[in-house]
Amino acid sequence: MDWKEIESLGPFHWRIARQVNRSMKSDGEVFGSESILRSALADQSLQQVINVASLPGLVGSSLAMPDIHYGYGFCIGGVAAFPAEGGIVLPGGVGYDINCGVRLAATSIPVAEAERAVESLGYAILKRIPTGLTDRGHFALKKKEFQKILSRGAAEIVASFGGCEDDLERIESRGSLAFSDPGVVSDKAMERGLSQVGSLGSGNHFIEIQAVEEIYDQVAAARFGLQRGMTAIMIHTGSRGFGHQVATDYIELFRKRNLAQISLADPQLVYAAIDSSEGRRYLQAMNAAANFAWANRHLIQEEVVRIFETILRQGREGMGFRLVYDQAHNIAKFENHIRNGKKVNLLVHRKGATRAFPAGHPELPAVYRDVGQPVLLPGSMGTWSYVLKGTDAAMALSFGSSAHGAGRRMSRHQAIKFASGMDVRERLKAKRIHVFSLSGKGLKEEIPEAYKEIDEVVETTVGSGISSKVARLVPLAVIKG
Amino acid sequence: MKNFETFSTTADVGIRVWGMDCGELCRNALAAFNELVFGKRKKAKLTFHFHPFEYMGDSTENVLVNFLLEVLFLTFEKRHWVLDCKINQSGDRSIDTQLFYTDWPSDPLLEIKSITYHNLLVRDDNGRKKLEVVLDI
Repeated sequence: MDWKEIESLGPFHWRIARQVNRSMKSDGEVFGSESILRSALADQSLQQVINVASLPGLVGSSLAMPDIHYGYGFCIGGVAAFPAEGGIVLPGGVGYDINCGVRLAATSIPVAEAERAVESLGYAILKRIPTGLTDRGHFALKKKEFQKILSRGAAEIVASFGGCEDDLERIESRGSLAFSDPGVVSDKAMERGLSQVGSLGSGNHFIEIQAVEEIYDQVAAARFGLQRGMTAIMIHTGSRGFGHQVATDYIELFRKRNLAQISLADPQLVYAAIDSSEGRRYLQAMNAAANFAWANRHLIQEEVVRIFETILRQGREGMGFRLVYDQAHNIAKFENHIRNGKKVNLLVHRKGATRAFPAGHPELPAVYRDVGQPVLLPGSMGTWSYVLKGTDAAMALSFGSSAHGAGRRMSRHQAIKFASGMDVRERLKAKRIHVFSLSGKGLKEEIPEAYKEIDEVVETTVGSGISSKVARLVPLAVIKG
Repeated sequence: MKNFETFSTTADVGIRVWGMDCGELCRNALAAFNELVFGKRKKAKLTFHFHPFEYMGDSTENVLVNFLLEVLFLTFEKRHWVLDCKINQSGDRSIDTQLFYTDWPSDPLLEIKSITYHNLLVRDDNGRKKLEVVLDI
């Protein structure tokens, strides 16, 4: 496609009209600055927006958030909604790492105090939490215990391991989606998942000790428990091998069952009817993987709390540990939206995109209902992360969706080449950011330059109206797989 | 003549393989997979075990994806190094093979989490079949 085929709807909002490509059944819409759009055009992710716009039954437009980049089938940063009745579900619109997501916990530990202990805290987290390619979870679970996690998500961790009941309120969907049939999950998925509960994984997954550096919205920040000059913990991970196996199994099943009926621009976009047997089974299995991921992040948080308690010699309450929010950015959810003045129930797919519900939305935790949903946007390991909040404009323009992070700019190979001869740890230490990782290669793949400027993504997200700024956080320590 | 090469996308990696038939594509894909996971290695004389793998699919692409998924599972879940394979029989939509494996030669350099169908299509390239497979990492 050509730049001339992209129509500006505003400084940060663009349209690819359905007339651009014969296969399109709906428009494509992208939120982003001109430079973000130009890079999306160059890396073919706009073609992926077009491919999704060609799917049957799409409600509204095929959408992409400001952190758009090339994925497989569906672009990363993509959002697509289908009718709950008569619509389709596509595993490619969720991604392999089902419920990959971000969690932020606030504390009342002054940054200076955390900085004094940052080496001990970082090493202890790296030692305690399984990270990287080879480390498996510490928890040898029996199959029945694992099935409880798949059914109950984060609530099972609070019940059997520890943590605060109050935290569950501040997890999207209370950290648990309906799952009742273990028969929809393959033995391979069970085997991959059993050994990985409580592990971080590799790639772009991380745990960060952060400082709350700037507050933009005093009311929302206070409600979220964020205070300038205090320490926070951010965790980014997902459903590990379990989610990947679920996605793999169902993409394979959907292909087999629908082979004759489906002609797709990209075979990765294979789909099934929501109300078909395979569609229903996928949604059940996806929910199980989502529950795994919420349990995983909750367990990692609880391990981090214990490390802080030991090293800082203070109790959880004394340190003011409190979950701000935990959100999924790879998931499909049934949601009510208003379309042409009517309430409709949709299955909204978000792949590398987050919910951004506004104040007053009934699905928000009671404590946040008058301010809006926290939207967590992690930056690269050398830059800021942001807390935004959902807006009414997001509900009107993007099915209540927003960006999920900085988004990669360089391939891993390019990043390693760029970082050749670079001491990534020392470079970040000069910025008072301590990095803890068992993999030098992994660190080079994740250098800050490999990602888009988070500030540009945030300014674009805010400029387009789909979220507003609440706070900015800066990393003190980064623990990576 | 090249049998395989690796490439990068913005977020993931992939392998490009060539072969005369489905069996050769699978064997070359295994070599490419190993190069990504364990780096370039000489095949040493090692004690190894056999793992039979038989698959009847709907296309060459489908067979290759499922062959690589089996290798992925043996590599990352069972922690085996699948050194090579012997193709007993292969057609456009089927394969019957023995996978030879031993212990990991080292920790993996890269974790591959799944094999995708993204833009996957067999193409003709000067009389040989050519496939590009994007791997989820």
